[in-house]
Amino acid sequence: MIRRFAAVLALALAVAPAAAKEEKLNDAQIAHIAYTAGQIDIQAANLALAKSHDNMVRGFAQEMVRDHTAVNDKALALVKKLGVTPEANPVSASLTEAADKKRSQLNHLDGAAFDRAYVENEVAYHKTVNGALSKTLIPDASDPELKQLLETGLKLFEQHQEHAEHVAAMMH
Amino acid sequence: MTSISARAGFCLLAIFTSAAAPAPTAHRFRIVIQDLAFGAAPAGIRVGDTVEWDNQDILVHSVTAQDQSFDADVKPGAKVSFTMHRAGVIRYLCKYHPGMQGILNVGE
Repeated sequence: MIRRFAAVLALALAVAPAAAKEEKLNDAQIAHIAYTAGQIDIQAANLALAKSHDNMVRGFAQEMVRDHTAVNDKALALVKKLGVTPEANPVSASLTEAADKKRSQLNHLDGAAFDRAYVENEVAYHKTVNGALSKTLIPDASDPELKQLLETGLKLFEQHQEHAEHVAAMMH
Repeated sequence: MTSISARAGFCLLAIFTSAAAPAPTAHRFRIVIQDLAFGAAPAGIRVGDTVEWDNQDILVHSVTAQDQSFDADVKPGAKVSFTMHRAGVIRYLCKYHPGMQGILNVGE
């Protein structure tokens, strides 16, 4: 079920690859994974907004909340229109588990240490999600509208990755 | 007398000339924002014309001139417009998604 996507995510997010099987993801699973990935980044951004006092970091976090909320709202509207019920799956579960761990680690940091760790994680996270979108989720999506939304998401998240890299570079 | 007639004639000529050549009409140009990109810059924009940005994307964007001549957020489904007050090349971007960039060529 997880196939190439698991390989990509497992590498960067330390997701156990044991659950990987050679099956193509269906649209309900893809929608669930994409939505989960967005929610994870919103939660991380909300943590940053609660902990960081750095204007650059806070600006980036606000952008993540605003953009991922918009994309997820659009995704919810689309699955409703298509009559698709997002389907929980091992990839979504692994993503959530890895994100919970990372958020817990971040929560124990403060000040500049938190800012650095948050932004570095954002770079890695967007890189990973973008790889998964381009290599697996978009090619596997069947519905043209879902594919289109994922392509828009990829374009957006590539900009987020660039922005995160820029913020990270400014911190060094 | 001759002088007065000449002046009157000149004034009439001036009024006639003025009526025959009205000031150029200001135009309105439209740029669609879609799929994280600004549409192509319209040709023929002149000082006094208005450019309208129509956000058909799912995200909030901004139209922010690098020379600070205009800056506004534009929500999904909304429009924002600015009148061009100076000629030249105006580079602009979305401050939230700096990869989105556009150029306006404004003539005299």
